[in-house]
Amino acid sequence: MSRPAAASRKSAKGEYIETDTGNKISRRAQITGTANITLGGKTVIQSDVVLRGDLHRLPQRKEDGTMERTPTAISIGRYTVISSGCVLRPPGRNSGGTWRYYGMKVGDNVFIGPNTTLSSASISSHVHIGASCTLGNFSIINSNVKILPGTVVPALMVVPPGVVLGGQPARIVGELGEGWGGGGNGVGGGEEAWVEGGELRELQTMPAFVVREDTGGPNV
Amino acid sequence: MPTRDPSVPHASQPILPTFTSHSISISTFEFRPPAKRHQTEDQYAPTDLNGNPSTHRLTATHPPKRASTQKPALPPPPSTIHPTALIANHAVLSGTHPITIAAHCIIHPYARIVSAEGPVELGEGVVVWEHAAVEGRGEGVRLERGVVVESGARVEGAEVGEGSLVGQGCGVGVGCVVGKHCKIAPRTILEPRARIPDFTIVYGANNARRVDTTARDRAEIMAAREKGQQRQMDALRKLVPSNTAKWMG
Amino acid sequence: MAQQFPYTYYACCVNISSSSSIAQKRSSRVATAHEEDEDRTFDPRSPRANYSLYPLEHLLYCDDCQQIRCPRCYTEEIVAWYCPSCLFDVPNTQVRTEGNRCQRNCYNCPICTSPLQVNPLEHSSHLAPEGSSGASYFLGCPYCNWSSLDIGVEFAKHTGITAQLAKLKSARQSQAKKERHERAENKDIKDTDPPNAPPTHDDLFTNLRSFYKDTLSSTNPVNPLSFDPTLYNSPPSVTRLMNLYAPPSAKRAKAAKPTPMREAHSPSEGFLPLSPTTEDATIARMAQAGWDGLTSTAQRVQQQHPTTKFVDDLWPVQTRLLTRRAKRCATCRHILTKPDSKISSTRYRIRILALDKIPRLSIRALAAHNTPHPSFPITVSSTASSSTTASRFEYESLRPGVMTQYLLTLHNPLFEPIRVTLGTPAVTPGNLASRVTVLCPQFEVGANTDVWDEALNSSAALSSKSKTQPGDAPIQAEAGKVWERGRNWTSVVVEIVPGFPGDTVVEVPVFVRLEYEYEHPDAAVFEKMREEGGAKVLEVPELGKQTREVAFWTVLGVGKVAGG
Repeated sequence: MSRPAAASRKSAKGEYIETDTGNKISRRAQITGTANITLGGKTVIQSDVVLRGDLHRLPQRKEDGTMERTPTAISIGRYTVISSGCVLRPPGRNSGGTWRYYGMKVGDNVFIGPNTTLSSASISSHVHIGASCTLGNFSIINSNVKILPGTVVPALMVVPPGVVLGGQPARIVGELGEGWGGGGNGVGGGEEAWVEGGELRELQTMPAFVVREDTGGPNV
Repeated sequence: MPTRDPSVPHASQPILPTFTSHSISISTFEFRPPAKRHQTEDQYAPTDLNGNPSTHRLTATHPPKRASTQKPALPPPPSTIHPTALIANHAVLSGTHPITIAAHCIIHPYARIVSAEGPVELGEGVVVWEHAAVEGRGEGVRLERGVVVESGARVEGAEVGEGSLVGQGCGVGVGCVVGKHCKIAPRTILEPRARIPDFTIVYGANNARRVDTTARDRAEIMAAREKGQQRQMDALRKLVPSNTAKWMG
Repeated sequence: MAQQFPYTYYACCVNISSSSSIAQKRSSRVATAHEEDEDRTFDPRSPRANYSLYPLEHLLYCDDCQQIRCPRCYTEEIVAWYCPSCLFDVPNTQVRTEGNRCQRNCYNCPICTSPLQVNPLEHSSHLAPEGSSGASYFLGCPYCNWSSLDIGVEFAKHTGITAQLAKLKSARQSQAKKERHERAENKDIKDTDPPNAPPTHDDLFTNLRSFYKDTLSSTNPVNPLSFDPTLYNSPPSVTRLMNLYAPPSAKRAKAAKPTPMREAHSPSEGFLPLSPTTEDATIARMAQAGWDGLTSTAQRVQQQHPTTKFVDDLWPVQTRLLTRRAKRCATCRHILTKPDSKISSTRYRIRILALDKIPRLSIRALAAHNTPHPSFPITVSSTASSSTTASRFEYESLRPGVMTQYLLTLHNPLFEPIRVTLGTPAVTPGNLASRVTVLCPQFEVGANTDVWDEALNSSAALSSKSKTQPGDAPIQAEAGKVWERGRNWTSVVVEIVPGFPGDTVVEVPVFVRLEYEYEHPDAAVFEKMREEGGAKVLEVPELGKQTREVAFWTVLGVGKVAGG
């Protein structure tokens, strides 16, 4: 932030497009239904990430006869990283005689490892998901959770906050330390990039991206 | 949570049109000769059964957005596609052997149907999800009626019986025969030439198997499942725009 | 542990085995670095080290002891019980009476442990509207497709599953009992035959319990060994107390005549003799069920009765409750963390983290740091492969004998600037003797002031950086000089020459000692408290500024030697 080099942020031919709110989206991300996707800001979407914004709840006819706006299919918070090869598909189920898709919500400071597929209803903040996981239809991940690589979270499973999840099917295999998720006020200086997992560790795939800068104080 | 910084717009605000316009400009940037792209794919295809499809290859396979409205440079594979089948934009059919797609199939965006080394036959109502790959190998690949191939799964040169589900990130390799109404749980890689009897569930880290007695013995459960699947497909038909005409030739 | 390189672990309880260490820690209010146990080099390869190394986020800090606290030196107290599946708080009284299982609708699959879901059964026939009286429900596993229909269990309502299951179970048991009785009556003539079906586990347990209760009260009315605190002045307690203070000879005399107790010896007393016929029947059933029909060990231990042999007998498993726990320092009993008792809240009432009290060390290869530094992304290139390889340092394949420069960064969470001294062994312990040189072992790290301060004095902050902007020509690391410095962080260069493969993992123990001027915000109150408490006043905190010292070992995992 204090670097002069940071001034030339919008490089014309970079792999990433930066939106006005600082989201970085790979030019090779595979996004359908962009209008139904919201990103909170400073979120990274890497290459080959599929976001199925086209699978949304069908708009209902309002009382005054007009159609409502198409509901948001996927909403992603701030400082979230979605690694390459991930698939985010909104959850769907049979309801009232028809199949309906529902919104998928991903919180802030979430890291999703490569090649993970998700159909969760909600993923809260400060969640670290390892590589090659599968999060089933309508699963709910509460805040401060670590999911080990290769975990299969069954459909409709609710994961309580503060646990480590692993296995096929997923079960609770441990607890996270108290320091996980927005603990230290010393985090977030320099141009370090931090992501939660094992230890608050360097975000290696994106060395120059500050993930944790919101914990230190006001955003600059 | 600290109060939201006013300088950052509220999260529920959709991606601004600025982004959409950017995404259109993507295609120009990314465009490379399609011929080369197909070449890369063939070169990579024989390897990598067990692993997840490498990101490099995946990017190489789907045509850029602009190209999706045009005819691909390579001739499309000799395919018989039922007009009621839905092949989404960015779904790719490639190869030289015949591809048969029966009625009511749904091929999602970024799915791949490859017949480079053998014919591909998709029965009625087959669903192939994003990043999934169905590849003809050896004697070809055959998916019977109502088979669902989930995101990131690979089915190569295998036979999958009616109503079976291949979960996310699964691998069903050459010579495998999966029976009817089976479920291959997510992230399961079947051993080579596996024979999976009807109504079998393959699950867990050690590929444990069990018989789905509920489905086998209770007709109403089976009927409910089929009904659910049918409704999902109806909903998808409304939501996913079809690009089938492009491949009909 | 499949931990990614590089990593930093913090050592706590390095020398817990010596009985004096707790006392020592207590006395060292202002920790002196020159304690006996800290003189030795910490060896990360020693088997004991496994139990004293933690990531920073797992460690707490005791303000009173001025020590890091790890799971070995804090105690835990249960604050609340909750169900991980429905996230309901369960009151302590309910846990005491009904056990540590969720009493609501939460069940786990007996086959694969995943949470079961209540599904409507009649839903399929589209003619019946949802929620009609004719509907019935079953528990189904979304992962392995097991369902309660497999054991013939259906529910009338979709709520109150526990009560419905209990009713079903007791109905089945009474049915079995009735059949058993009928059979026994028919075979009344030859009563030497054991009954065909063995009594249920629950029956046996009830019988056995009542038998022991009776026997204990009848044969041993005054049991000197059973001590019930609620009956403090009862005869048994008095006898026990007398016994305690009796001379040893008397004790021996007393112990010499224990009353032998009869054991249970019939099914009515809860004892089930091994009967060849039932065993044969079980074996025959096993042969018929085949491998797939038998339960695995993992499935059996999940069941209420671990004797469940057949898949057909598996019963849905009630979800086990989890706890939220407060943590206390084992030495001074001060509370270190106390979570909110409500599961819905992730807040803590008290939380003293090591993360907020000791500097965070992070190491990475200088080569990785020095790659072109655009703010984002790393490299602009058309192919995915080249952009990732160019920026990534191969921590997994260090070359033995070749010097690698690392950048060690310390972040200071304190509001005072700290003076840091780093100590490393010249050669790392273990088979893989790597040489380690910290180019600048003594330096200062700035205070963790408000981010706004930095923003306001941005020009000053920039000038404080001792190095030119990265992206220029490679900068030479100089001995005795700090590499780079920011608001509350300082980076120094560490040179590491990995040894030749013995072990493959290169781990460097680093002793960190820091010193800072500290003024207790309410030193006077603190002092008064101590005097009133009448505790031994070890060191009265000075009212003015005092110098504090904190010292601890860390282990830096810097990579793996190639071809090990």
